[in-house]
Amino acid sequence: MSREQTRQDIDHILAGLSSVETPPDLEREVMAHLATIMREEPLQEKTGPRAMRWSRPRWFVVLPVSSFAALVLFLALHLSRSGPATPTFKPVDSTSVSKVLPGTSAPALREKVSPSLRIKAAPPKTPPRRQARLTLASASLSYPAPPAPLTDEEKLLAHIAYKADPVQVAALDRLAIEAKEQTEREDFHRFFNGGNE
Amino acid sequence: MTLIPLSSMESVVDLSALVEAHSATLFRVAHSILRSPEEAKDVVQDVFVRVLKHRSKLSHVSDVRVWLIRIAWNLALDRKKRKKLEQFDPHFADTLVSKEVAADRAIDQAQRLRAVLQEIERLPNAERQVLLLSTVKELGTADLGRVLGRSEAAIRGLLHRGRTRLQNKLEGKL
Repeated sequence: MSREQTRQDIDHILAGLSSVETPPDLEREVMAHLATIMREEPLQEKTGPRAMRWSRPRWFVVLPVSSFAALVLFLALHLSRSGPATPTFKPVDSTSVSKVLPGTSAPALREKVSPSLRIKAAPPKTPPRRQARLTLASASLSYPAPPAPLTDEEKLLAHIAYKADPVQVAALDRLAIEAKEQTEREDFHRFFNGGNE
Repeated sequence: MTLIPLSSMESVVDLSALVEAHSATLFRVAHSILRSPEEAKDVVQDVFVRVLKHRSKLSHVSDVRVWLIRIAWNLALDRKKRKKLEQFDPHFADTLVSKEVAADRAIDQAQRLRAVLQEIERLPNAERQVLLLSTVKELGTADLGRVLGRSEAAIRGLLHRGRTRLQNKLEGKL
């Protein structure tokens, strides 16, 4: 191969690269492609640099806003937790209930207070904090269970226990009690008046 | 029916003028590197997509033609980096073979032309770039200097050295 042949080959390649024909529909295809892109991204091409400017994160805007949002969130959580959100059950006796509402016995209190509390706690639109308070109050009043009404025998026993003589409680025989009392009266008079008689 | 804002309409008009004026040059620039009409067409589309996205900077560009050629040049080089030497279109050399010669001579010519293309790819970067860009007939030496950021004298020197090196390599190979 001669040097001239090589030179001709190089020229042939460079000429071939130089004489390449552009596709006849190149401009139309490019414009169609651009039109498609502009339809897909109308905002970006409309706003241009302004959109790019707003898309950048600004620390002096983001920082105060995020701090304020965090503060509001913290306060909201703190206030919601400071109230009695979860009721805890504590044993409450009837005396403590009577202290809270003096002059009212436990059964009467249950009959008077519980239905009203039940009615107040029932509506679903009650605010959460108020509902939690009502739930706690009703739970305190209903635990332990209030005493049941006394039977007739229990009432008689209670009457005897609190008002009669303990000896009478023990001596249920009425005739024996009266005989004993009679004997005691006679002994009493004999002791104090026997010397005079 | 979608309404296109006025600013968009102006951009379309500007872009259509740019496409009509420069797409052929950009196609040849891309084709000189990629040697594939399809890929060169994709590069031209990508160039104008970039122009569309950064058209706000068009007013700051002193020479739009050189700016567009630089974009096409860089996009084509970027595409070329993803391809190996063997992945280049082998049919380009075949298309340059004369159809008037005998079959055995045509095969020999095609082999020689492929060897030239391979040796062009093995040239130093600066020499190869100048040699390939010089094939774009719309670009003179001054334009090459502006696109590649070199003086006209440097362009002429690179062109001469590249061509001489290519010839020497081919002679030694052949």
